[in-house]
Amino acid sequence: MSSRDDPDPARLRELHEAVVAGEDPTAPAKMAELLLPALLRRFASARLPDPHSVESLIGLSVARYLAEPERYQPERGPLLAYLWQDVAGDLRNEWDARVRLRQHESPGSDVVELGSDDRNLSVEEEVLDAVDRFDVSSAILQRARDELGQFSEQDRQLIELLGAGVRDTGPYAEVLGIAHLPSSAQAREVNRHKDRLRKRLGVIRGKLSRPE
Amino acid sequence: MANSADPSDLGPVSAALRDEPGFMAGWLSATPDGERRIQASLKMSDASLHRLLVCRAPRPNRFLADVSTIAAYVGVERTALAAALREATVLAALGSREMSRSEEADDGLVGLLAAARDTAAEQLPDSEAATAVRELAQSTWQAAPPEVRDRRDVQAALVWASPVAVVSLPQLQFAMVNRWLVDRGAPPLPDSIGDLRGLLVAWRSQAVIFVDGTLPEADFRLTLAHEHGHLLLDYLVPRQRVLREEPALLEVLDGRRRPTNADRARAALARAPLGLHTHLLHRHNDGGAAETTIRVEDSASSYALELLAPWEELLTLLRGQPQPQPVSYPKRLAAAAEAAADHFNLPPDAAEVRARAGLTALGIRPGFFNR
Repeated sequence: MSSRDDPDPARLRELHEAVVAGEDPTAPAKMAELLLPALLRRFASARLPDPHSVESLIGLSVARYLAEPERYQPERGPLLAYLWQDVAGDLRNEWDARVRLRQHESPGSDVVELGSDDRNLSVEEEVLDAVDRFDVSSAILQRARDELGQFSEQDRQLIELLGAGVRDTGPYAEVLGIAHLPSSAQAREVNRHKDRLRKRLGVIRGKLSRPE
Repeated sequence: MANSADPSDLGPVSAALRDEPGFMAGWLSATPDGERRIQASLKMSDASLHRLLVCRAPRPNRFLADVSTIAAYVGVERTALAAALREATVLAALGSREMSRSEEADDGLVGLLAAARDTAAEQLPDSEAATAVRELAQSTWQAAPPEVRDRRDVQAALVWASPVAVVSLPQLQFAMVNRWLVDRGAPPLPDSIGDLRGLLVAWRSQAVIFVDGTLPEADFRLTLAHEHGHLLLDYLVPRQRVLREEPALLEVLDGRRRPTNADRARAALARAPLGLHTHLLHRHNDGGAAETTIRVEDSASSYALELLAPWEELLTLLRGQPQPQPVSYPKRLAAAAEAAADHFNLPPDAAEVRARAGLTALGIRPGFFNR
């Protein structure tokens, strides 16, 4: 069932494209402002291990999506459903962890009441029915496959370093503007960008190798 | 059980992004007390702070555009946000010196640039700046938003143009600088000199300029511009050259690893300084400075004058000056210096040096008896 308070699907689609493109630094926050209330509403009536855990789990799920928006594939279903499933999976894991903890602490107690039947999974069905469908794949993802010229100036600098065979983290961190962070954080972010660019380059390479 | 979270509060998302350097939450996570300091300095509500933290971190080559967009979104003034972000990042960078000292470098100095402008009188260069220096000064102004250029706000322009924070301390002394650093979780500087007008400290591509806050405004601006000259000419430009020509040397330059013989050879070819990247202004007992220091100081002063009184603007100003009657070089120079001081907010000595250079370029030189 659709809620009148749901975010406008077109707006969600537009923001998703902006989050993927990475050109508007405020796009992730604007997206989070739409997703967070919608997800909180979806889980408002759910039975939860504790009232605060759902906020954290929703926060984690939205953060995971914002950090790697390419993992969400619009052609597979609506973004809210994708995130709902992510949160629901985490909640299920949390329930299971609590059940295991209870079993460990007090064998023979009321473990059965916390079993899987007690989870309010009807919310999932509601969300899946309610939210919009994306009919076409993201225009930004499609454009990104079209030509190398779509890379940002920053990406081009990173690709030059990759092409020059630079292995140290420092030069990449300098280009990304994260040289002030601890080495471990720099390395993680640099590797993420290297992986992202290698994937994009691989796609372009594959596209160019195919005949028209 | 129903939850009662404020749906507009992005706190759960910002908390989950603290390990993501691509977002403001992760970008600021290495700064001791960074979020609280930014919130306090910009007088932001919790909700605004969390919205800021969920934004993507500004890209170095799009700093003006990105920070302006973020500032409009979270409802703060963009130059204030830029300054707060610059301070947060330099504190994170300087904080990492402690780790470097214990793990890698010999004495915590490798990769550190510190340049001081002390209270002794300095000679100002009396000629037009080299083209490269003029272009650097122009690009500093071009990196700033129009309102900053319009009001000739040097401090704001530096913050927009370079990864540098500006800190004004009353009666600047080395001990005060170290106290400021330690209070914010950064290790103190290892060297010491006496009273200062300005001090630049740069580390791993981030910098802070300390200025004596009691200086008259014109001297304050000149000192800031001078230290920014050091930052560009002695630190950022060489780093950019290394990044372009020998990127692998950056790790050596920053003291993350020791140079190999091959590194030394490559460094020589790329004209990249290895080893100690430090040149505190040490004066001899007679008050003079070492030859290399004088050269470096001249370049920084040349940049400062070009930044504060751009050459073409200066010439336009001087061309439009009415000729004092009766015409004499000393009177003409005095009038030109006064005009330059007023127009560009220069200290009297700097205005006179600049006016003399400008008059010379216009073919107006002292007569035989005025030399």
